[in-house]
Amino acid sequence: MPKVNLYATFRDLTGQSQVRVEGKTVGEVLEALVRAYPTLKEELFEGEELAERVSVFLEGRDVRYLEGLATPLTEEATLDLFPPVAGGTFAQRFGALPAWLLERYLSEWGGRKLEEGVYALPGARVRFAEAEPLRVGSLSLPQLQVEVEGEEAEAWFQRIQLAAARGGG
Amino acid sequence: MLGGYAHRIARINLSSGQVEYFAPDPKDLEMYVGGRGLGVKYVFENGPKVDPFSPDNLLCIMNGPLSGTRAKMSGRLAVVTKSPLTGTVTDSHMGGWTAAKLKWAGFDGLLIKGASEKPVYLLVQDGEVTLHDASDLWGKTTHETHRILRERHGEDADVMAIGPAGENLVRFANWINNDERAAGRGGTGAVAGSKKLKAIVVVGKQENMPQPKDPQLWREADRQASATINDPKNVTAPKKGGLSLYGTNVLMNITNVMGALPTFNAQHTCMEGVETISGEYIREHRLIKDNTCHACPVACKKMVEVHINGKAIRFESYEYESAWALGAHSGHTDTDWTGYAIYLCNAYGMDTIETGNAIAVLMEATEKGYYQGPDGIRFGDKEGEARIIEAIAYRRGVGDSLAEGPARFAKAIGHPEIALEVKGQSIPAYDPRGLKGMGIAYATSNRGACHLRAYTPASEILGVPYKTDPLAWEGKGKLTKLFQDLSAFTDSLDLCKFSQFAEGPEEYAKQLAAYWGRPVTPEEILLIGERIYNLERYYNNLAGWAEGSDYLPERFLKEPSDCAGSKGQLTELDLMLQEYYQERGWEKGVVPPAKLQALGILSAAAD
Repeated sequence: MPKVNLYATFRDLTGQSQVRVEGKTVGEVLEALVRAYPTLKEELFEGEELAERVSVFLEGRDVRYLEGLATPLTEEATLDLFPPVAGGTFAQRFGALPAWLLERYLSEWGGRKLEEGVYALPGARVRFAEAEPLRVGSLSLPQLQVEVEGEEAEAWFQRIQLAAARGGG
Repeated sequence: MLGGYAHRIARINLSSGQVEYFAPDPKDLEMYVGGRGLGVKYVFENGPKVDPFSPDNLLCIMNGPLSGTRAKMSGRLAVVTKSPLTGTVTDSHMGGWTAAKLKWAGFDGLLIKGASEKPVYLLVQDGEVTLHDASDLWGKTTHETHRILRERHGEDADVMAIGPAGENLVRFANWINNDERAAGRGGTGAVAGSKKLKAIVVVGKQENMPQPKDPQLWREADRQASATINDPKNVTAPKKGGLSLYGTNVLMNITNVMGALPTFNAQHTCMEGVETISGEYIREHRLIKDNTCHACPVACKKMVEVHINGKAIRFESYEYESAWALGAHSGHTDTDWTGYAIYLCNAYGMDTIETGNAIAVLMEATEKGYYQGPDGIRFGDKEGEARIIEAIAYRRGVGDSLAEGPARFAKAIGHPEIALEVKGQSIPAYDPRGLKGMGIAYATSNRGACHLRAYTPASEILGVPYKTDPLAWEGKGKLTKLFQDLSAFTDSLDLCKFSQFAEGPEEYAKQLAAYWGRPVTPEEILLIGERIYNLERYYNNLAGWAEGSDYLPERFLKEPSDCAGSKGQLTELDLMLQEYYQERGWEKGVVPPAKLQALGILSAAAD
């Protein structure tokens, strides 16, 4: 049965960070999700279509660039479901940024650890958790899901983006 | 005084034989750091109109403030000049120990002008540069030159040399050092050949390693950088991460599945059987040893052994770009012949990427009847490929025309469209129909088509620093600018590009601050990178690469990808260019004066 990882406000609406629901396509899975958690309906859909602001990723690829709601899913598929990046919440998944390194940055910037994976910064709260690594061929790349909320969320999110800038060659 | 430097650069005039020394201007160091940045500054001051093969062209051999220190992955040396292949400013970097030893020999760089009447080599030792007769070395391969000069000057001597290709002014000749690392692209070896400069021997003692100005900050910075490079989950992790295990060639199977591997001169975007030239296969069947460079725990270098006609040949390395260019791009996946072709390019001193493109262009020209001369070869002709490599190095037959570069060759036979080039330099191993970001990165690269100015596959394949869809064009202009600026900075430190798979502006800022002895912010790092990128672009604008110079080969715009993950795709260059220019604040590829002033380039250039 496909897995769905939920992030940010989707967690508050469902009380879950991960659920398993039936479905052979992205559309079927999202419909099953709405049946289980009706409050998600307005968040996920605009009429019959996927809401513009919602991001649905299948193995790291935005389903909009696949076949949208018709994208077929295997039994082992994992979807990542992100609410819109607006209203004071900013979220991104960073590669090659270990959790311990982000914690070091946050501490240097005056952050206070509230609990595992949660820091308070002036005017913002940062949550982070390791996500499934991105597996490509013989490579495995760590992924860290980071969310920033609060009045100063945008500025702190940009600070994290700068620190997390990486590249390669 | 900023720390990390020897504060000594040699200005060598090969026409007169005179050598002078000067301390680099501290203002230049703060604005351009070293390596690529400082080299570009000096090449700019030398003037953008110079003929690359004129004695007046300036050839800069540069290291950076972290070279020769214990900073991880700091073994890169920058060669900066005006390229005879593109007519742009170019910089090319080699690994190994040359950069470190140059610092230990007492130098931040060598600025070489003029041209000698007789072949010469330079000996760099104890803060002095001396010229020596190289008549006995002229004509020898890079490997023979290394051997002879190390016998003469000791096994601790580091030697970088050009081969017959550089002597014969093959426009994509390179430098190879005794660790078989190449300053590969842009024809910097041909510039040395035009000056009759065969080699540079560097003798440096580790006891001259520069010490950080702020040892306490250095300990913290080094610990942080080391910890993230060694983090077992990162691809850089020694003996665990993909880069360490398989080297760069871990990508071959991945890009093939994505339809992002140009094959048969990019007439196709994937190929059956590339497994036999992939990193996984080489590790299992041909690997002799994992070698490394100065201060690098990753050890992506792979010494391999191939067999040709019963003869064993060892070399380093079976890199992704080289294996693609001389294998899949040329229409075959023969493990040994591809390796042999790489070995030959290293021995003659030629860029494997440009050579592979030259061969692929000749193959397509032959098959389509555009070239009907006696030296024609068809795709998959691996023995013919080895023959053409030699013909290029010695400018024999069709090799003489190919030695001018695939772009000039294709134009000369009346079919410029089969050369996959930007600004005269050929594409590396990523098809921009399957990795859209590579399209904008190639088009806007200041040294011609290149994957190392902005490595968008980091994001498009590896999710670093964040995952983007390889088939989406949106956001790729912004991503390209970020990567270009970050890499311009790390090339100036001069750290290996792979450090960016684990480190970012925080780590670089801390390490540089510990050496410089003054605070450095992550914002300053990207500003320095942006300044360098704009100075290069300004140079190119003045050199004749102005409006309309950021283009892609027609093939990527008009012939849809035919297989694997990218089937049916084209590259949306115009849309990406619009986004990119907006991010840069450029006007159709030209840097406006206001931008130059804002970055301090105009006033700095006038000094």
